Parts: sequence; C-alpha cells; structure tokens
Amino acid sequence: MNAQQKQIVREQILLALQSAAPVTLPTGTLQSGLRIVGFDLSEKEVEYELEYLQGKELVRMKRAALSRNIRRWGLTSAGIDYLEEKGLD
Amino acid sequence: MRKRRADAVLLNLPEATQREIYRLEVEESLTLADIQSRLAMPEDEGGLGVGHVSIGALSGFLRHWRSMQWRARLQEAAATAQEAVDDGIAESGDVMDEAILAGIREWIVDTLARGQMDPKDAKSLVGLVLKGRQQLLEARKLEILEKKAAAYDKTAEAVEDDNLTPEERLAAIREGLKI
Repeated sequence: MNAQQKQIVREQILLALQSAAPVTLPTGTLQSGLRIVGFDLSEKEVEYELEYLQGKELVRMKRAALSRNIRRWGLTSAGIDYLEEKGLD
Repeated sequence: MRKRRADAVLLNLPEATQREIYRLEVEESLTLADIQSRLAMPEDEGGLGVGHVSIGALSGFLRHWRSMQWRARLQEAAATAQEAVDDGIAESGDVMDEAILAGIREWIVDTLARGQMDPKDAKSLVGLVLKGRQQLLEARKLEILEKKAAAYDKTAEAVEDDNLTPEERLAAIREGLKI
C-alpha cells in the first residue's frame, strides 16, 4: 500500500468504528469490512494499522466481554474529533 | 485552494444515477473499464450519458459507495443489537448481568456486520436466550423454596416428636433451620 492508500484504510477503520459505536469491533470484522470497501489486507496488516491509530490515541482497545482473548476496538473522543475535522463524519 | 476530488463529478450526480453505477458493479459485476464505457455511452444508446470519467475517479467513487453500504450495515447492526437486548429485557426481566449483555451486543454486531445472520433471527435468538435464562432462574428459585419447605417440615416433625431427648430435638431444630 502506498501512503495515500494507508491513509484511506485508516480513515475507513475510524468510520467503521464510529458507525458501530457504542459497540466495539474485533479485528476480523474490520478486516472483512475493509475487503468490502476494496482493501484486501491480512489480519496482521489490519492489526498493524489499528495499533498505529492506537498510538495516535484515535482508537482504544478493549477485551471482548465473552472472550478475553479477543481484542476489540472502539473510537476515542480524539478519533471522533479527527473525523469531524476532516469532514468525514 | 483545496484540490477537487477526482470522483467529485460522480458524487455530484443525481442519487439514482449514482445508485445505478454502484449497481453495475455489485449486481452486474462489470469491470471498471465496462462501467467507464457505460458512463461515456449516450443514454439513447443504453449508456448513462455522463461522459468520460477516469478509472481512478470511478474507482474512488465505487469505494465511497461500498464504504457507505458497509457503514450503513454496521449502524443497523448496532441498532439491532441494542433493540434485541432492550426487547429481551422488557420481556424477560433483568436476568443477565451487564457483562453478558455487552457480550450479546458484541456478538450480534459481529454476526450482522459479516452478513452471517438476518437481524430478525438475531433478535429472536436473543429473546430465546434471555427467556431461557429467566426460566432457569425461576426453576432454581422453586428448587430452593422446595428445599426450604422440606427442611421446615422436618423441623416441625422434630418439635412434635416425643421420642427425642431435648438435646436431640434442639440439634434437629438447629439442623432444620441451619442455625
């Protein structure tokens, strides 16, 4: 992926998390959604982007309510602000 | 000046035309080149009469529409999850703790987001789970009440049993009342 595609993928992740809120999403669901949009990424690649966004404090990670091994992702208030500033919300 | 998005021309078309372009990809599985030709073709020749659109612009436009559809599915899934849990609670009472309800909401959203279940089925399933839990709790309550009633009967028998010594009677009463 080039820089522009990465940017689109990250924004698609944020938009998806915003749409599902207040429910968080696991990596697998985000991966299948990104495939629908047109980005065929591996789960590891999606995790990498999520961790990047977490580093920027735009997303947060939590453990699934029914299975502690599953990581789920939600949008932070900084993530909401980002989408608003970009006019993407 | 902000750069104009390459797909802006397509995104400014009437919604029905936009929907038709998206349909060509999703339902007719046309390639980008085929859709590009259909866009350029005049309407009286069976095209959409939009004119020439670059592949890049078309690709961006379709990505935008796919993203919208996906997000709409997520929104619907989240709303269905909340509705299913609310309806289940209204029908069966507060029989689950919040962590389990959160888990149910997460499961519904994941399943619906991946298109693995119909929203109606998800709601029915949650209703059944909550109702089943309610029946289980009621059965347990009944079991406890029956055990208590049996213990009180046994205690009452001990109180009226003249063959017991005072110590034995007291022990039986203590046992029956779990003192």
